Amino acid sequence: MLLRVTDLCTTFGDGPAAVDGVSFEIASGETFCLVGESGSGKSVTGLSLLRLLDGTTAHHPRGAAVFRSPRLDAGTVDLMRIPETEMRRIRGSRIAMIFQEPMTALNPVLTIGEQLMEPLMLHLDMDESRARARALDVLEQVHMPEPERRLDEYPHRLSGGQRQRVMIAMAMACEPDLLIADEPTTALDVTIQAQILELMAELQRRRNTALLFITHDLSVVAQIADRIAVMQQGRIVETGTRDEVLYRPRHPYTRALLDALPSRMKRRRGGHHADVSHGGDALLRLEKLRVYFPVYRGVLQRHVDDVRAVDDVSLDVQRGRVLALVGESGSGKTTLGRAILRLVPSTGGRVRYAGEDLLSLSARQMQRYRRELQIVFQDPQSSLNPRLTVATTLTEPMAVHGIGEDHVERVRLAAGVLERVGLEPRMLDRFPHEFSGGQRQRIGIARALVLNPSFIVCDEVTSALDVSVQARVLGLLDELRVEFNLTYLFITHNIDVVRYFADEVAVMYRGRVVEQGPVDQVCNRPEHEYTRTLLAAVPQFEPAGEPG
Amino acid sequence: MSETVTGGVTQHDGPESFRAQVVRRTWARLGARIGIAWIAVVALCAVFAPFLANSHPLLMRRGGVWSSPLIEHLTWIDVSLLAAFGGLLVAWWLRRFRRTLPLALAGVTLVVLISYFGVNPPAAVIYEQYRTGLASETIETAVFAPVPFSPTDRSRDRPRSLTAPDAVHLMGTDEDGADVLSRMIHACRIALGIGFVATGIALILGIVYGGIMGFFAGWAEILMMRFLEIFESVPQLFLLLMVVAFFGRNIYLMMVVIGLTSWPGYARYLRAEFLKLRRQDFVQAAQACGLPVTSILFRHMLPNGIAPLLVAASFGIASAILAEAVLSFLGLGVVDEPSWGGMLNQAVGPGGTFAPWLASYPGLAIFLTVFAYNLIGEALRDAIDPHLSRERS
Amino acid sequence: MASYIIRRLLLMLPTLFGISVLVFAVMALAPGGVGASLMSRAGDMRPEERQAMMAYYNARYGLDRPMPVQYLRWLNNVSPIGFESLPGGERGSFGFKTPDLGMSFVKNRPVLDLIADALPVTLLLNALTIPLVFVGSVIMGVYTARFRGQALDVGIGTANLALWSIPAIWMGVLLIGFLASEQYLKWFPTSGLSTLGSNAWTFLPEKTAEGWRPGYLLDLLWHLVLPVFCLTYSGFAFLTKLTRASVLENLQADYARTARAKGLSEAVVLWQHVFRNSLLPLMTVAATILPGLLIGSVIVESIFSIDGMGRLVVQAVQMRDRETVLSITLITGLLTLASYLIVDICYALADPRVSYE
Repeated sequence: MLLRVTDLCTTFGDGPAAVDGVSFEIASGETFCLVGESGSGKSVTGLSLLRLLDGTTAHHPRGAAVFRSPRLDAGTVDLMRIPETEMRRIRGSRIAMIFQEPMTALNPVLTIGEQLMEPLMLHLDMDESRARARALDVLEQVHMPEPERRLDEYPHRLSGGQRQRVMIAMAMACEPDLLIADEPTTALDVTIQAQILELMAELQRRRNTALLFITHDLSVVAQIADRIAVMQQGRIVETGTRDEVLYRPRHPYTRALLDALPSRMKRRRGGHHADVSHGGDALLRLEKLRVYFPVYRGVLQRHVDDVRAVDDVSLDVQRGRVLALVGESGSGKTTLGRAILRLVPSTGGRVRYAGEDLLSLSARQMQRYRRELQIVFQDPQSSLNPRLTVATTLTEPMAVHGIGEDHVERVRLAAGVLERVGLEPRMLDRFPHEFSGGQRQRIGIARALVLNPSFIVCDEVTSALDVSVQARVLGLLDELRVEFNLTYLFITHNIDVVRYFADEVAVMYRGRVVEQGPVDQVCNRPEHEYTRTLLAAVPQFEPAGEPG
Repeated sequence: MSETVTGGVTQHDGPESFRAQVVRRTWARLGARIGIAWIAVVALCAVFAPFLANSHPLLMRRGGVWSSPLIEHLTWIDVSLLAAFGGLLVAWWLRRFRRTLPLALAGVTLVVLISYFGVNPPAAVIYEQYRTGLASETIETAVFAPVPFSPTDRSRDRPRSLTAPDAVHLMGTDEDGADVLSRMIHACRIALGIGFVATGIALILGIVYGGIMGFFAGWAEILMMRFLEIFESVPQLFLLLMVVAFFGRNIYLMMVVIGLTSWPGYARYLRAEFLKLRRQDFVQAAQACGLPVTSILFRHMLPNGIAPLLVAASFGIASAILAEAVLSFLGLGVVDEPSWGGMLNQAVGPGGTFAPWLASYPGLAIFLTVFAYNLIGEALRDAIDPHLSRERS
Repeated sequence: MASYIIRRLLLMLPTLFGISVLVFAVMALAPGGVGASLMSRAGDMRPEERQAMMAYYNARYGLDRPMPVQYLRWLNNVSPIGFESLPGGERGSFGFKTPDLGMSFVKNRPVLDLIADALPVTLLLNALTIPLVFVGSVIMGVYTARFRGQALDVGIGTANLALWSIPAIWMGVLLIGFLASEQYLKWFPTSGLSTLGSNAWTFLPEKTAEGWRPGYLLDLLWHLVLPVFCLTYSGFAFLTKLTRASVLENLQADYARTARAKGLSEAVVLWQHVFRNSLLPLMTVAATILPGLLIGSVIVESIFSIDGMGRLVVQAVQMRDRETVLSITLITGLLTLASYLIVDICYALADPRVSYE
């Protein structure tokens, strides 16, 4: 065994153990996945192994992590016991680590080359010119375009995917025995994720590096893992080979996690699909909608160009149906959603809602439609005013639109809506910070519902949520759709959610809609090149099927 | 409104508003508590200055007639301050009832107006009369304030300029022979007043100006930014010096000018906050719900953007006090009114003579007051800082 | 970058114009308007002096004209571009010219001369203070960042806050009183920048018949100790606090963790990675420190009787020497604007992420 962890514990200050008696083993060359939802202690486990947690607050009351490497002088060491100087010789050379946020993980004021050369000069005693040559070599190995030029550039000039490539290059530079990857693809778009996963697998094969892959994404796990450990509340509840854990799960928590996967859930629309005829009653129709952001340059700040966030988009959303708007970051899907509600000014085109062009209305005329069209946001942290109680957040829009006779009645109505979204009415006089992410998202939905809208823009509503919470919120949204006859524009980057939830889908790429149609058609028989790339990049995981 | 909803839920261990959180966390800091305690001492000295240090006896019997020259010589400012203090106390006592604050405010305003026109203390004051009267026994009995000297009492009966502290003058005397302790106590007024009024003016201006800039983008904002830069690029002290030079030395004018020169910082802060807030989802949600602009501004944006402003205001009070002290120290302060900075100025005489008591006490008072406000500001900032709260949760 | 600098320089023009309007407005709004504030000192002058001053102001402002015209006339005089004013009030050709900052009647010299005398002294003080403040506080900030923990955080923070809160006027008086005055230690001179007669001395110390003579340089340094300390300590405390907080925050940053994961020692992480990043926020603060130093020199020069810009402006205000007050206010405004620009440019040079496109 390359690494044998036994009974590892990590505590912060006087709090309860974040990692509570974790044991697992990793053989050389194997890919071991540590899976869990947020707060399960999976990242802390990874950081604990390298002892990278802040020493003033984090402690390891017990546990051992025996690491054996032929290229170590001592041969076998306990990572939790060796002195710090010895630990430093292991970090970066025998065990390397890459992190989730490529945007902040690189030092902004040092060039890529400087950061790449650092571990080489430190661990392999290279001089500057040899280190530079080697750095260039590693950059080529991670398939960085124009590696020569990149060496002298600063991280902010690179895209997220490129930065993660640099991180991998840096980690692999000294050819470690073990690579700990802490959610390395979570912040990346799905097409980039596919590239990075492929790259990691390639490097791993070539060097026979063991990989400890920490993630929340079971689809990724299914694609890369040899063995899997599932973590919940600081403990490992189940360990086994990929097929054992994914296809024959024993622990109820593992089963619940798998059941919450959108690809696993039953397609929500039953015979509903046939009810509505195509092209009939479009509740919302976009005609050549354009949203441009001007770019000013030069001494006089002349208008030189536009960023075309939304470029000539035409779409129909049928009444009572769900149109999913799919795209990667920067594709303009969020801007489009806000432009429909006139939260960002449009440059041109029309937004017809029930025949009326919303863009041509005055603010006063628009007020009537504010009730009809609502929005639910992605980030439950920032979508609620932290200074107002839930009651105020819910009743204020009601008062503005004249819903409810008086304040008492409005509070009663708000309590009803709150109950409908699965929260208790007594939570009305609490403040947002007292709720969890999923609960806040429910409050956000309740705020949209109190006005009795017909059309709701759901902007990445489940992206910030854990998969089990996501499943419940999606279920709630579906119930509400049926109950109140709602129409959704469902903005997301997650194809699995689209398959589960949407009737129709439009694919956005660089501000344009490149393909649209019924979900089955677009997802199974994509026509546009980009749609095909996008779909191919999605990690395929069909737990119902046979192990492959 | 929460009363209608709460039902059985108790208010105490339940929801905690942001304001309550900030107050609790600020109060948890020892530094903040010391700071607040010192400000309270200064405030009490300011309100009760005439009763703490006065040459007029509180009670006196002359020729068998009892009288209270101290009360007779109270100015309208003395009366107004006492009324404001009383009003504040009453409002605090009755804080459970709504609308006590407006009522208390109205009452205090009325007293101020009445006293401004109604209180006319004798214009010519002879402080020595009581001491000589007591010595020559024309005054039979007199009860004095703890410090039996007025700040402008130059002890003409026995001139003692620049004497070191002794049993009569606990903190010594200044160049003119006035009692330093008495002047110290009365100077609390200027220190406290200038801090609050100047910062109040600056805050109001800054909030209005910064709010407009942050909410309405476009050409208006660019022009307003230029105008703000003008005010920023003239150092405050220079503008103050100019005004003092051309308009004369007037404490109210100084308050206004310090206020008028310190608002750009607040405006900039609020603008930055508003620009950030405008993109926040909850403000977008408020817009999507069709809430009126006033609600979006005053309910959703201002309360979220104002917290850092209060921190800045706390530091602002400290620097306003410093500005006045510096002006007085340079000999450009208010004539005849006691001021800590002015007293400090007398510590080093033209001939190189040094009066340590005139350096230590007033300097210490300025330092402690400035330090107190800075401590409070610091504690407030930590209480508001989102980093901290993220760590906690 | 070049276009950014040009744009900023162009934007300075309206701001400077605004400052001049503001300054003139303060004067014009004074009780009785421009004329009255001019004549306020005229009472104790001899008739012929008074006559001369009246004639001067009339020529310079045109006191019989309406206010905007008075302003434009004055502006034309002080700006380096404008109509040349010929003797007899005639208007000359338009173009570059030497700005005429006016005449100080109190000192009976052109204001330009007064400023030319005083400015180098203030610049000397600040040239010594600025590096001291920045270098000292950065070293101290990084050093104190090594001591962490609840009690230490509070202790170090409060100590810095206390030092920052000590008013310069108090510090100056205490220093003079205890370290320089006749009654106490008398280690340092109480006033001025040189001992009487020191300009006859050699630059470096020399041995004479009566023993060692300190020489001009040492004498100057000896005079500078207290004033420079007085200017330094508060900015030092403020920046130390800021540096410490910034270093501590950056030590927690993701990129610092990456550096540690490479196997770098804590010292290398601090100096190679964290240090440069921690200095970036200091640069923005530098912009607010510079005007603060100008104000500081007003105080320090007054306390230690040093004939720099600060003392000049205080004297001018006391004497109601308006031409001097106006000019100095304008010049400090210009200096402040320039320092903002320099700080912004430095920021762009130090942080590769910032580029002014």
